[in-house]
Amino acid sequence: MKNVILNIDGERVQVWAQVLGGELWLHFNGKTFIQDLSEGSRRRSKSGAAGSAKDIVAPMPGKILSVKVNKGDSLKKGDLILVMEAMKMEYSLKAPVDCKVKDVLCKDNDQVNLKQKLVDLDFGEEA
Amino acid sequence: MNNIEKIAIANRGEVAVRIIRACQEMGIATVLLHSEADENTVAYRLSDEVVCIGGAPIANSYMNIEKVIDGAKAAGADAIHPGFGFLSENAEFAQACIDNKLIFIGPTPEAISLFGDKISAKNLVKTTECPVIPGYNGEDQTEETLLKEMDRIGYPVMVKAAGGGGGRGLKVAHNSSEAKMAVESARREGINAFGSDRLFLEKYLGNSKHIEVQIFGDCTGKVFHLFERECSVQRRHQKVIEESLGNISPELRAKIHKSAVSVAEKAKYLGAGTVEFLVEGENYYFLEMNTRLQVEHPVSEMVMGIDLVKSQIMAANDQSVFWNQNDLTPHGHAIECRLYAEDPYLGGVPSVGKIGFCKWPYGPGRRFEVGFEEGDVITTNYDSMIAKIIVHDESRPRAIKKMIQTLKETVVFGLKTNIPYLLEILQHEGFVSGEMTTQFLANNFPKALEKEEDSEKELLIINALKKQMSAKPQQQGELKNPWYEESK
Repeated sequence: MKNVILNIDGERVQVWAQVLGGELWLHFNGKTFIQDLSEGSRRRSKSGAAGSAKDIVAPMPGKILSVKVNKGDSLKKGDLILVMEAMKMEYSLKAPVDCKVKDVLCKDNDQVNLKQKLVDLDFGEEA
Repeated sequence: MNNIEKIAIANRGEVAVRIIRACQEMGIATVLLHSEADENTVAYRLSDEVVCIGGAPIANSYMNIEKVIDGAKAAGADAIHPGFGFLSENAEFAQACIDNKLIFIGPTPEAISLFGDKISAKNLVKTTECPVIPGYNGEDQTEETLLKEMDRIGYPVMVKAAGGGGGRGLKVAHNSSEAKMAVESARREGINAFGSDRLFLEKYLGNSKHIEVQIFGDCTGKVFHLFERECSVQRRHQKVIEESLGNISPELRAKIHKSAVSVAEKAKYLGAGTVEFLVEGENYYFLEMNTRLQVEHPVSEMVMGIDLVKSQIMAANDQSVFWNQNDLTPHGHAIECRLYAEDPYLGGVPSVGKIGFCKWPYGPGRRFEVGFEEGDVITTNYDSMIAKIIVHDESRPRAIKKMIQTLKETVVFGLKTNIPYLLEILQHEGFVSGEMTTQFLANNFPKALEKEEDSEKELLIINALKKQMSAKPQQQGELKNPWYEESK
């Protein structure tokens, strides 16, 4: 863990930083940021199921209750992809952006592990 | 007269730490009864002794009466503190403690069963002045009777199919013209979904506050009230932010305290308990009584200047508390936020893993109830609450500002937390105004938080740190020999 004070345009900013498993965790100005260090610095950080990759991964171990999409479906941002259950609670995983379903890698009642790929998405032509 | 010298703690997380600390300050030895999954926790390190009672699943450990009792006996404990959750409101467990000559720190098994059953609880409350939610659950199920009862209860009225749940077979009639339709439709759904056409009626309180009164029955039979808490900020019936005192009129306050005490007195209640109410305007209705220490007990402790856990131990030890009801005066305002390991941008999906680093920003009026520290692992075995943050200040506006500042300074790496969600709530007009009802979160935060794009300045800082943190350590040159100055 590193605690540094940066000077940004004459303003003092205290930053807490730690590298954990290929991710850089930062805390400053009351917010926490997570950056993936493993694949260059091109990508922006995004938390969540979609992560920054093009597939939906299980955010935690649990059971798939119902898959709402099929291969080839076109999705709008926020469309429901699947519902899973973990720790006795239900969670809905939704499309992070407009996209197409390239492949569905799980089915109803599957037990899934943390970070297991569930659905492969095609985000279209992206720069 | 009991003489408790060693207490077994049948719980985990931050409440186990809370109990161990109270015992240590009272000169009582502690033994933590833990599961295999809980060796990397603060309570495990802090307790005088530990006994592993079983595997991670709660049925094999924390919910297993036999294993808990065996563990306590093996360690030679005199008493068991159940904390909250798990076996804390299990009458069979309280009885098993007594049968094994262990003091159960809590009420009698009879009081637990009495309040554990909704019908017997309601029947007891009906013998006091305390109002219950008006309703009808009679044998006469003719439409005529039901409609007459609905008019008597007063609209809006909720029509529920017996055996219903999860919103199915549940209809709300807002006035008498909707009554017939609500009865017919609830009955249809009841028959289709549960094979029963039996209905019951209850006044619909869709716009109510959750107000609860902390009570305490001491060993002499005297029941104290320790003012009230406001816990309307709930998500799926789980409290997220709790406060003391509540935003109620002095008249209502006096009535609700009196009612809470009368309910506890009627049950000859011993120890800490909470009488929960739904409040709409100046009307209040008994909801249920919790026969245990509550998660949110610290806000009452801060405002009242008392220690509920030590008082519980004293009551179990046949010692009377030092209080006098007239001297119990609240001071200022306290707020508690439950810190969960979860992803607020994913609608609260638990975030499991190892805590890489954490910093609790201590300061005046800031209290941290922490169950896990750096290096500890949050698993999917249990609840994902990692800590409770409580602040106390002279007024509610100050306490809100203090909580916002405290949360912003709190650092947790390795796990995502609900801090961004808590900050949004604390700054929401509906919360700041104090007008929030139990529907507040469902109405205002129906979806997961939207992640904001990082600002220019934030990106600047992120990139600067990225460079610093990913830089390889500098290659060291050949070591100079410190025995000699520059070679000649």
